[in-house]
Amino acid sequence: MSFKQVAKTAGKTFLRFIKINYLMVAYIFASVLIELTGIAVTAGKFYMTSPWLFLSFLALACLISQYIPNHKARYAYFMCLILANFILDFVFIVIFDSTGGTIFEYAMLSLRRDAMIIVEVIPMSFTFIFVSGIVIALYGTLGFMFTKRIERPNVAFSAKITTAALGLLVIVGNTLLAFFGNYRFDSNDLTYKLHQQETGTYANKGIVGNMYNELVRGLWFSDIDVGDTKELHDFIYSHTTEPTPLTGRADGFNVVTILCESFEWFTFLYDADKFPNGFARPIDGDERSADEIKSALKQLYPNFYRMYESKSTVILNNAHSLEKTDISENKSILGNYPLLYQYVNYGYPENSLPYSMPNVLKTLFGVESNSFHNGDKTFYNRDIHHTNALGFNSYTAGEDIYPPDEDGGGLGERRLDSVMFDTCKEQMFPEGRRFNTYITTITQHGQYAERENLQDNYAKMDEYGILPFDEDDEDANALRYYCAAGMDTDKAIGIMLDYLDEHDLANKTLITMFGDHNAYYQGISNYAKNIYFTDTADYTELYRVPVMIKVGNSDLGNPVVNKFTCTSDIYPTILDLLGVTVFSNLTYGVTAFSPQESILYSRAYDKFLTDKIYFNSLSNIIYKAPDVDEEYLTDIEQRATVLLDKISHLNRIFATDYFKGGNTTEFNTLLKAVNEQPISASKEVTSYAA
Amino acid sequence: MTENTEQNSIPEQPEQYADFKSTFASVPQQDKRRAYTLLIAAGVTLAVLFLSRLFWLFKPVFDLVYYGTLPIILYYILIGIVFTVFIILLNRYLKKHCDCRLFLPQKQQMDVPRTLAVIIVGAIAMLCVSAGFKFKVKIQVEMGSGVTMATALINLAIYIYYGLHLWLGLTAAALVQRALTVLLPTKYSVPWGAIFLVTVFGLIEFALEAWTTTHLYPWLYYILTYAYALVYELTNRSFHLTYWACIIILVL
Repeated sequence: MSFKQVAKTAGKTFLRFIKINYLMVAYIFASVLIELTGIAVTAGKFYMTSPWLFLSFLALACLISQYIPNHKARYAYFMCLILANFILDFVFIVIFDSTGGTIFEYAMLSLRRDAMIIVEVIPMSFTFIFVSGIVIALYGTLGFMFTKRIERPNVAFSAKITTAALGLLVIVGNTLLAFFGNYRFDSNDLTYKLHQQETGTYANKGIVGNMYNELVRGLWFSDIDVGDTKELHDFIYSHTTEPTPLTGRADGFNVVTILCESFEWFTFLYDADKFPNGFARPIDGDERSADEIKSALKQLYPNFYRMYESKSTVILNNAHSLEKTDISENKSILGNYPLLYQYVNYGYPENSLPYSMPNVLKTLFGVESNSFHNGDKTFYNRDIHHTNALGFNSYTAGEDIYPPDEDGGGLGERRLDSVMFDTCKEQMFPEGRRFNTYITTITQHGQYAERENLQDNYAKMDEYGILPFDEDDEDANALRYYCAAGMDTDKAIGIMLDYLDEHDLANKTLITMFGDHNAYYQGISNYAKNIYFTDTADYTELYRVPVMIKVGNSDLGNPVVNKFTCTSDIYPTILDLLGVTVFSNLTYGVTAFSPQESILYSRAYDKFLTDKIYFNSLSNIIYKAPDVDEEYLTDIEQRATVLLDKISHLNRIFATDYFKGGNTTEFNTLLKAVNEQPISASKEVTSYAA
Repeated sequence: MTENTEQNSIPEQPEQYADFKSTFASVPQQDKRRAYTLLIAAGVTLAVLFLSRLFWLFKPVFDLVYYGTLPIILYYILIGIVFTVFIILLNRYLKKHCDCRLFLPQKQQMDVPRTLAVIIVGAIAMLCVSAGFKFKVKIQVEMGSGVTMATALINLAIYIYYGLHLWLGLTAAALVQRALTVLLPTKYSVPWGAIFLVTVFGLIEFALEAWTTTHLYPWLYYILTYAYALVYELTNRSFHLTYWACIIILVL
């Protein structure tokens, strides 16, 4: 038989195979198209760099279909698989869109019911639904129509043997892929993250592949090896924080830290360059000058301006955050956050953390700390985590503050910050004892729709001609609702400042206000800043958030810190002002008053960030400012390496509850010891640790 | 709906088609009577459909049950019950008096070109509607973002309400198609049902929605009736296929 004849016969056999298995072939096309569309709408790429896990699932599904002897059953089987693929992709796209770009990770499973509250609105990708809808409709109708017209499939014994062998091969391949994709995880060395090929998007493994890989990783490759405990011990105590010109400026002060939900500078500031769609956006018929608008804003946000323009306030003008609220909260209270396959609020709510701000202040000064939040009590497991791991004496939540019938009004409505501050001011700022109060606000939380409890604020905005309602511009209206919510937070700040003034507490209270993350709900931040793509100039501006620190009534001259800072720097900055020395290997950041700069590693998005660079790994730099040069990159690599080293040690501390029992006693002893020394002398304390 | 089955087939067409008058005269009296009954049934269906809006007059009574948004949901539940009872009664009546079976599934399968055409019509409708919403999915816009759970529930109920309207609208269209096909036999089948959907059902719905409700997009729903009409023709006037295809178009 000639080659031509062999080729012809093989071709005929192949075509016949394709024809008989038309449902399988169509399934492969349909599934790949749905998956690639899902990747395109999340990662902006119509391909996968490592599609092997996804393809192994396709292969397995196809091989299983070879045991099904008729077309109708195969049709039902493949339809179920296509619908499952669609639903899975849809769910993860919704999570991605509603959380500002988070891809699925194993730790999300620990969110349990809170996940449903986080995903409170279901953004639907038109492109994904449109393309998938057509694919499913075509498969559903045409696939069924041909079930009677095509020859019955062959499920002979020999075919079954071949299929079984191939199936085994695919399963082995899939297992090996899962293993080799994760075996590099080493709890003691995270530096691989700096040079990994993963981009932190679905463009690597696809949505299905990523889900499978994360499950495998979380279940079998997430063990934390405590390693050498002496090395860990030495690491913790090897360095302490350095003094700065402002060290001890708030010595003996009360501490109030306010995590302002989704707080952005454009809530109350006019800046035509930075926020072109904010208050500077031209409005038909509004001929006012910038100064006139700024003057109106001071009427609407008098208390933010009291903070912002106070001679006692330090402005961190280049602060950034790229986290979710719970992580920002922990970073500002602990100074760190581990990279485990759990969120600490859920996974380690009862760990011993003697270095948390409440515990440090209690150990050194006997200060009582209390936490307040007007959200739901159990959300983010705060009711357990705050009073146990973080060391707050009490945690007061929405249910404790508001009448039982006022639950925030369901979706869309948010409890008012002003009501929380007004109701709790005596507990928040007690007289007669030194206090440390942590407050997490909620009014500026999305979604940004018209709310009944903010009607007065809308009326006031209209009175001053600020952000009028525009029936043709959804984005502008969302910004209006967001800024109106900000007016209530402003009112809350006013209640606090007045109370502190009236009770002679203002001059001895250190107040820190910061935005936990940008206003990512409904893309408010993108809109106000007009930044939508990573190739936009000054892209990292998207994550710049406010930090204002008011140091009693001291005359500091309203200084502005322009160096890069981030959420991790809040903890060391507060302690620096209080004159407290802590062990710097437990803090990811540095005080804002040090010449050193930190680097932000986003636990939520698996990205590194400074004001000049944004990357997943140094092999995948997503954005860099024009002035970034080799020297800067080397510096960044060094900073990131140090940070990752700290994270890997923190992983061990959290996973093994290192400070449980005697280690807390030792920590407290050493903490007291380093704080008893003259500030300039407390640099190396290895001798204490020994 | 009124599918071509042995029990329910369209009578033989006359060989000559001189004009409407003569063809109309050639239709047997018994068939004419049945066709008139079907036309009256279509009219009653439309009347039930449109007069159901008068239930809003009972709002003060609904308000006695509970305040807030519940009366609105109560109204939709009431509409659902009334429509369902009406359809059951209509079905029984037509079966008895016209030998016409509602909801008999069509035996013959659609061919591939028609199937593709229905999908294309659906896709174009979805594309056009979404374009009007800056390429957002219609259901997402209509369900609203940041709305309270009660509002979300009402918005969901509105979809069921429109689904019920479509049910009765298509029923009336199918009855009209059947009746006029019998009364005015032609060489090629005239799409009476599709014309009815666009010119009578669609327009009246549009007018009532625009003038008596706060619905934001009545024009959009009117435009969608063109898609429904097309789908009705493309599916060989199969009620079941048309209805479910139209429901998908309505939702998406």
